[in-house]
Amino acid sequence: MTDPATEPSEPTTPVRPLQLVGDDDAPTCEDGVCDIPPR
Amino acid sequence: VNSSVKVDIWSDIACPWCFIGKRRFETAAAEFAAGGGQLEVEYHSFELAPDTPVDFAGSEVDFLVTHKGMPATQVEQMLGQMTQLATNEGLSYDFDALQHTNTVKAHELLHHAKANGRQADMVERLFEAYFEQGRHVGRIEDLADLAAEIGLDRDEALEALTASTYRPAVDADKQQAIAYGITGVPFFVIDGRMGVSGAQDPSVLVEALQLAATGSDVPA
Repeated sequence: MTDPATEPSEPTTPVRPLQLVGDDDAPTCEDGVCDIPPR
Repeated sequence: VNSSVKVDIWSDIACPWCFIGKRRFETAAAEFAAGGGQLEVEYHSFELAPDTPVDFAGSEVDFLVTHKGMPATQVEQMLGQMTQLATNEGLSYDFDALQHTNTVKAHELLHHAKANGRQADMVERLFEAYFEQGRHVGRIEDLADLAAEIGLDRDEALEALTASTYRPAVDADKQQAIAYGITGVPFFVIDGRMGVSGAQDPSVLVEALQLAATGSDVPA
């Protein structure tokens, strides 16, 4: 029996692979740490 | 030509690049709209540091040093540069006043606001409260105050936050991000088929919006 607590509460909408636009290295925050801006 | 474009934006309130990315997106959206384009924008939840305590006792520097192992000098340099960059975007970041906290309740509030047709105003209010005004965005009483400040019913917001009414919606957003392969924010999904990662120049976003509006693919 599946533990309901481990299941997503709402179904995830199926997605198609995204076509990425722009600079792959544009600044983001990830895992609590943000890219350092240029001087 | 389909000139109405859906934009889904994954971001976290505690994400300095997300507020900057929001301003850059707004610049792009204004240019797109000036050309006759129409946008539907929806914000989605992404938690950068879900293990952060609501009542984290310390500064942003403390958090990054103690939780992420970054050298204090590097953190201070980074925040200084980030503050200057934000200034260039018309934002007044105040990392000294900022109260680092867990953002899951803020995300629940965004979903509550969306259900009441006020998500755009709530996103803006939360970002400015967190980065510019040193307001706490983790405790439900403080969040209910912010909801009231944009005209939402304070008691209804407090009730929704207390009952975690929108936690399933937050979790669903996080699952959707995983499905897209999103690991960092801000992240813009345009027309459900194009992705723009990070706080990119407005020209990049305008290009993506125009491609979406005309049903075109991204040039190889």
